[in-house]
Amino acid sequence: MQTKNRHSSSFRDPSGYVFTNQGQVFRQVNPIYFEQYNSLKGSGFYEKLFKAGLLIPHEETESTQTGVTLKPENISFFSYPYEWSFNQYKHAALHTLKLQKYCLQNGYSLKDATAFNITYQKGKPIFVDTLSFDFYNEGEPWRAYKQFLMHFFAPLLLAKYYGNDMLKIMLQYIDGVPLGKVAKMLPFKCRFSPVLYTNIYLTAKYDSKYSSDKESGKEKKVNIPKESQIKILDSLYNYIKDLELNEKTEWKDYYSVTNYDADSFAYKKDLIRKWYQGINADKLIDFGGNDGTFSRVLKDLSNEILVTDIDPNAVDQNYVEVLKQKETNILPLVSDLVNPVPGIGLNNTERDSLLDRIKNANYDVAMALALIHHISLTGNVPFDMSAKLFASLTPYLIIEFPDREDSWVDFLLKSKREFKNHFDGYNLTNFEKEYSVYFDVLEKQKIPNTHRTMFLLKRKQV
Amino acid sequence: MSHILLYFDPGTGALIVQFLVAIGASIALFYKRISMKLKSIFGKKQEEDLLGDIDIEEKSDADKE
Repeated sequence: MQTKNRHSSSFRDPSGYVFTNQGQVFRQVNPIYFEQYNSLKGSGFYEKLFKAGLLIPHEETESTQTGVTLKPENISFFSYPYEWSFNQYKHAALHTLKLQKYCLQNGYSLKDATAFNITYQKGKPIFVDTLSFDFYNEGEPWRAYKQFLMHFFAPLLLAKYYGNDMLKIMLQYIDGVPLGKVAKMLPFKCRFSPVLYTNIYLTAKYDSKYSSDKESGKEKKVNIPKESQIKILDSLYNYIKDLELNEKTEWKDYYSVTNYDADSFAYKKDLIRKWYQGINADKLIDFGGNDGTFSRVLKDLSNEILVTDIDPNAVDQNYVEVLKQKETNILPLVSDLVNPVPGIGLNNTERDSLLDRIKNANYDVAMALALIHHISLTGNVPFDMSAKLFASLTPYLIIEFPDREDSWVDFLLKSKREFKNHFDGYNLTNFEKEYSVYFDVLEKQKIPNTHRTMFLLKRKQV
Repeated sequence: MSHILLYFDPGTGALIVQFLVAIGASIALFYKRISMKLKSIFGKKQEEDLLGDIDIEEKSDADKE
């Protein structure tokens, strides 16, 4: 068993573990979980979960007395809770509640409800931990209840009251936000909501009251009828579904105030399509892709599109569009390219860094439209450093360079005030020179009636 | 039986409190029902439901349960 290449995130649950073999992910089931596994398989519940789109489908590839090996459907890009927009986070929380209710109705219960058990696949949240199911015994409370609150409910509530940034809180609290802390942080008026009073304040109080009561067998027995547990799930579902976030960000309605008239806009779209087809790409990462307007130009040509943006509201708008159009090949993600999500947890590899996940996913091409001026002028990143970064991620790069006459660039330069002339190096000639160290220029095209130039670059073999 | 599989602390208090949480849930669900009724009486337009319902619509072949 030890010789298998165990995945660095898979060590918490003794029921089994995930390992990789020649790039393919497998899940090993340990004998300790056989009783549950055989029941889930034999009763057809796994099959029902696959059909309902609740659990990642798998097939059994090997079964011996020492272990069962499962081959789950491949997940193209694994996103984490702290990269989701508000509606993505909500949807993941609702997915977990839905799953638990369905489990109860079929005689099972989720033994854990961590937000890391959910990721996005084909435009929807999906539960990925095949061994998280246990038998439900009548009257038993939900053991993963507190974990659900700490991983899902707490970040969502904090986001509602204090803004989008709160959704990144799991970067700090990998095991969920302590409820006592949440109770202290939420506004006083929250106490008057029956849902918040019971789920947050009372639960935090009871949790600390019984915190020393750990010995098995001595713990207080409590009987919760199944109907009561379902009521808890239903009310949490309603409450979370109705949660709204009121925070405006600077990029809203970005495209209505850009430097483009309709003709230039169409020209840019045609150009991107032509280049994309020219290099036979079908896997795209769109950096600074805002609400996905330009990614969608390539939607019908692509297997997979990852659209990242620093603005959570733009990402959220993008996700709402994915849901409305039932798009299966676009994944919106909140990300700051000059401060990408690091690796966290044990050895810093339990949850991989964003850049590592991008590299491993082998995208054909990256798009960086109307981004370089933000990286260079807002982030102060020199051209050679941003070129090196892009070259480390994908073999091709479609990049747009807005020159100094562009109104956005002008605005950013003016905001540098007396340091403005420190940025004299920001011009087309220098850009091309520095990027040519890492890339070959395959195509170069000025967009008519703008001060912007498009490049198709190919990474140099080092 | 299933206790071996429990690899994190569910928190005794968080188990006991579910009895009270269920009461809060009943109150919330009761108000939700009333407000839904009122909305339908006054014909308030429903927004497009993108996140779906908690209940799984089982396919016809699952009727045997």
